Amino acid sequence: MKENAPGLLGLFADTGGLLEALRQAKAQGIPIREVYSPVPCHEVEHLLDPRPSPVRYVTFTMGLIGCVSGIALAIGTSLIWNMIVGGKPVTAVIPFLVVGFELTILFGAIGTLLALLFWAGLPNRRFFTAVYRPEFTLDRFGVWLECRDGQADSVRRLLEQTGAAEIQPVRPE
Amino acid sequence: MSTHPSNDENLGRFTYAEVDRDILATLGTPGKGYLALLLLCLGLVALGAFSWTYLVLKGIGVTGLNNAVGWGSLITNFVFWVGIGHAGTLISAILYLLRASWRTAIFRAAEAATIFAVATAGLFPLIHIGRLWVAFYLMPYPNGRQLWPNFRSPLVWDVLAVSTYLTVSAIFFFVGLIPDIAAVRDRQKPGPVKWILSIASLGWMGTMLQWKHYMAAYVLFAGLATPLVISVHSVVSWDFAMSVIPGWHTTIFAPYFVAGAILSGLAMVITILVPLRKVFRIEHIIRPFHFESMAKLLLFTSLIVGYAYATEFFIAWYSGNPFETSVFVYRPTGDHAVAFWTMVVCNAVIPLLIFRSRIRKSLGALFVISLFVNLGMWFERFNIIVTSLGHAYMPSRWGSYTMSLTEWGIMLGSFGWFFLLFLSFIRLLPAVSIAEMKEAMPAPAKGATS
Amino acid sequence: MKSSELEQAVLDSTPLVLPPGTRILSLVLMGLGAAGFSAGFVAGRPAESWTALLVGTVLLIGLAVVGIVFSAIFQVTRARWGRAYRRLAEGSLALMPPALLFLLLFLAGGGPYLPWAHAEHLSGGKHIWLSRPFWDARVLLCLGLTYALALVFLYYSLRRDFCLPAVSGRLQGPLSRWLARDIPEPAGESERCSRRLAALAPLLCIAYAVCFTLLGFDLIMALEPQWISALFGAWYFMGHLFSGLALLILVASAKQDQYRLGAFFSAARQKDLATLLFAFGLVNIDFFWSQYLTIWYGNLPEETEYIITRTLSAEQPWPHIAWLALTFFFIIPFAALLFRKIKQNRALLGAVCLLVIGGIFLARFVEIAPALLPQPPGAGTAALIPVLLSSGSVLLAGLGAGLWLYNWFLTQVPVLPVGDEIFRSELAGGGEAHS
Repeated sequence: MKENAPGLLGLFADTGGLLEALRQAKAQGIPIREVYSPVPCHEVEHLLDPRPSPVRYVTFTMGLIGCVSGIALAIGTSLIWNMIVGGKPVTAVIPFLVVGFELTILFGAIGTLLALLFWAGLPNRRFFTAVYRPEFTLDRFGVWLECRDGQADSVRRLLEQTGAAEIQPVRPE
Repeated sequence: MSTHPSNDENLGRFTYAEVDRDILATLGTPGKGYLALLLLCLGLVALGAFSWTYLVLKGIGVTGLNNAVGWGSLITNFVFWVGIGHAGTLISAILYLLRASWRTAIFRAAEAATIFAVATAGLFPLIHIGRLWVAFYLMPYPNGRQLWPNFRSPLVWDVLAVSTYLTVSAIFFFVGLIPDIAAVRDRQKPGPVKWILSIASLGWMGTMLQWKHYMAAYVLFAGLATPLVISVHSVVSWDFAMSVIPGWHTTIFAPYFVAGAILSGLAMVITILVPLRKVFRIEHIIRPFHFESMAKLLLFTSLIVGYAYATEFFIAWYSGNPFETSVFVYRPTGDHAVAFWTMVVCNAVIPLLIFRSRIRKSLGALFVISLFVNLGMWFERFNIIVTSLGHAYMPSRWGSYTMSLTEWGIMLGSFGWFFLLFLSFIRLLPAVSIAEMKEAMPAPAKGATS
Repeated sequence: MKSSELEQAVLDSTPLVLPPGTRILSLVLMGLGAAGFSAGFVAGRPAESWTALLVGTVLLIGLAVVGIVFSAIFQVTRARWGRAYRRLAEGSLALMPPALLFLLLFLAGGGPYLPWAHAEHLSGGKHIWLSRPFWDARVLLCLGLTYALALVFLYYSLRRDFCLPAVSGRLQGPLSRWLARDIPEPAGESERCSRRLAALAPLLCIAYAVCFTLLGFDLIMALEPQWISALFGAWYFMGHLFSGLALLILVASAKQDQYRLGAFFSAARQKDLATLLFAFGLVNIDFFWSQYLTIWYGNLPEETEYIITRTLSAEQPWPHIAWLALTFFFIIPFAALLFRKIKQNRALLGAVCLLVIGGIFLARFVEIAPALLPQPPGAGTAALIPVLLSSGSVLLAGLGAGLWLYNWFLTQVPVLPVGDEIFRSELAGGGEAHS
C-alpha cells in the first residue's frame, strides 16, 4: 500500500477540465489515486477502466439459484405430504413456476445489492479519515493525483493548466 | 406537437448548487398547514388502530362479511393499495429502462408512495385473517411438525409476491437514496446529525469506482423490478382468476389488473404531487410537462382498462355460460350497480378528457381527474370482489354485503397511515433525487461560473 | 449533419430502380405458394389447403399493418431512437394486397370448412355472432377500417417528406408524383401533415387493438366454438407486434447493406431494437402464460380440452409442434437476448428474429389446424408435415409478393423519413449522445 505518498487534490467545476487532467496524468504516468464526482460520468469511468462492472454476473447467478431453490422448495415441501390437494398433482410444475419466478427476482435483487456493496466498498469505514471535500456531492469534481519524489511541481502545473479551480495538498494518514 | 421536449421543458435551467439548495429547502421547518395535515393523519391512524383492536377482540364477525360474501372491503383495500404501489416502480424502473427522461423529477416521490402503499396493503391480509397472532403461518419456515404452506395456492403466491415486492422496491429506493443522503450530510455542520447521516450514507464519497458499480447495479435493479411489478398484480389477479367463480375466472385478468394498478397508481401520484409542488415551492422542478406525460400514461392505461371491461361483457355473452351471464347482468343492474357505474365512468370515461390537449396541460383538471380515478379504482375492486361472490351459481347461495362501521374505520385508518408515512418522508428525505437531477442536466461546460 | 446534407444522403441511398433479383425471387416464392396451396386439392384433401391458406392469412393480415402501427407508436411515444426505422416499417403496406387477396379467397371458398358452420348447437350469443354473412362482413369491416386508417396515416407521413423540394425534385416515379402534387406552400403543408399524423397516430393504435381483437376471436378462437379465452384477442395482436418487429429488424438489416444505410442505423440503435424485441417477447409470453395458467388451474372441461389437445395429450401429434413453437418464440429468444453480444451481432440477431417469426407461425398453426383437421388418436407428427409445409409456403408466397411491392415502394419514396422533425433534429444534434 502507498498510503503515505503525498499528493495533490485538484477541484474542477466542469468535466471537460477533469477529463483533460486525467488524460494528461495517464499519459505522463502519474498515479491517479481517486476521482470524485457529484454525478456518474461515463467518459471518466471509461478512461479509468473500460471493463464493465461485474455486478451483473452475481445478479444472474443469484437469480438462477433463486429460481431453482423456489421450485425445489415447492416440490420438496409438497412431497412431504404426498396428497392431492384441490385436484392438483402433488408436484404441480405449472403453479410452482410462479414460486420459482418470485424467488428469482428476490435472490437476484439481494445478490445485486450485496455485489454493489462489495465492489463499491460500502459501507465505507474510511470515510471519516479519507481525503474528501463536501463539495464533491455539490458541484465539484475532484481528482487526487499522487506526487512521487520531486513530481509535486509538475503535478501542480498539470492541474493548473487544465483549469483546476482549487488545488490542495493532501497527505493521508 | 410532434417535436421532442427541449431540455427546458423537462428540467429548466439550474446550476448544480441551485438544485441542492431548492431540493434541500423542502427539508426546512414545517409550516402550520403541514402540522395540521399530520395531526389529521394521526387522528385517522388512531381511528384505524381502534377499529382494528375492536375487530381483533370481537372477531371477524364485526365486519359485514357473511356466508355468501366472504371477501369484502378488507380485500378490496388490499388490492387497492397494492395497485397504488405500482406507479412508483413503473416510473422509477420501467421509464428508466425506456430512457424517458421526464421521470427524473418525480420518481423519488413516486417510489416512496409505492413503498408506503405496499406497506399499507400488507396490513390488510393480516387484518382480514382476524387472528393476527398466527399470521406467521403464511410464511414458509422450517418447523418440527413439517407443516408448510400449500405452494399450489395463489394466496401463498401472493404472500411471496407482495413480500418480494416490498423487499425489492425498498432496496431500490434506499440504493437510490445513498448519494442524496450523502449530499444532505455534506451540507450539515459537524455534529450528531452529520454523524448519523454519515453512517446512513454508508460513507458514500462519489468516487468513480463507486459510481461505476452503482450505475451497473441500478440498471439491474430496474431490470428485476420491471417483471416483478408485472408479476405482483398478476398474482393478485390470480387470487381471483384461479377459482371458478363466475366473473373471476377469466384469462384476461392478469394484464387487466396490471393496467388497472398502474392507472390507480398514476392517479395517486398526480393527486399527491399537485399539492406537494405548491406547498414546497418546487414548481420549477416538478413542471406541468411532467404531469402531461403522466396524464398520457394514465390515458393509455385507462384505455386498456376500458378494453378489458368491454371484453369481459362480450365474452360473457358470447360464451353462453348462464352463471357468467347472470353475474354480468347483476353487476350493472343489481344491488351494487352504483359501484359498477362509478367504476366505468371514473376509470374508462372521465380519463378520455385527457385526449384534449388543454385538459392535459391543466393541473387543476388533472388533479380532479386523478381524484375520480382513485375513487373509480376502489370501486372496481369492490365491484369485482363483492358482486361475483354475492351472485355466484345457484340463487340459494346469493347474498349481499354492506361495510360495517368497523370496516369504515379501518379503511379511513389506512388512508391516514399512508399519508402519515408520506408526510414524514418528505420532511426527512429529499423528495426529488438530487443526484439524478444533476445527471440529467447538461454537465457544466468549461469556463462556466460556479 | 446539416439538413441539406441529410436530405442528400437519404436521397442518394434511395434506389430509383428495383434491386436486381427482386422479380425472380418474388415469382419463385409465389409459385411455391401456389404449389403448396394446390397440393391439398391434388392429393384429395382440400381441408388441408384451406387450413394452410387460413394460417398464412391470419399472419399476413397482421404483418401488413403492424409496420405502420409501429410508425404510429413512435409518433405517440415521441421516441427518438426508432425514428430512422419509420419508413422501412411503413413499407409493411406492401403485404396488404396479398393479405387481402388471401382473405377474400378464403371467404370465397373456405367457408364450408369452418367447424362452426356445421355445428348443430351453438350456445349463448354464438348463433348470432357466428353466422354468415355477418361473420364475413365483420371480418372485412375490421380489416378495412384498420387498413384505411393505416393508409391515411401513411399518406401524411409520406406527403410530409415530399414537402421538401429536394425530395420532390429527385423522386419522379408515379407514386412520387402523386404524393408531390399540389404543394403551393411546402412549410404550411408539412405543418398540416404533422398535425394530422399527431391526431391519427393514437386512433390507429386503438383501431388496431380493437379490430385485431375481434379478428382474433373471429378467425381463430371461433374455430373451437365452445372454447373461450378473453385474452385471446390481445394475444393475437401482440403476436403481430412481436413477429412484426422481428421482421422489421430482418428487413432493416438487409436494407442496411443493400442501400448503404449504415450511417443511420448505428450499432446502438440496433441494440435498442433488440431490447424492444426482448420486451415484446416478455409481454407475449405474459399473455400466453396468463391464459395457460388460468385454464390449467380452473380445470373446466370446456376450456381444458383445447389445451390438452394442443399441448399435453400423448395421443395427439400437436403437442410436439406447440412445444417447438414455445421454444422458438420464447425460450431461445429469451435466453439469447439476455446477452449483449448477441444483440449487437447482426447475424445472430437475425437468426433470433427468424426463430421468432417461425415460432409465431407455429403457434398460429397449432391454434388453427387441430380445429380444421382433427387427427385420430395416435396419429404421428409426420402426418402433419404436408399441411405444415403448405402453410409455410402460403406465408412465403405472401411475403414474396410483398417483397416485390416493398422494393418498388422504396423506389418511390425516401428510404428514411426525412420530413420527420425529430429524425432531423436527432441527426443534426449528433444523434448518439444519449445512450
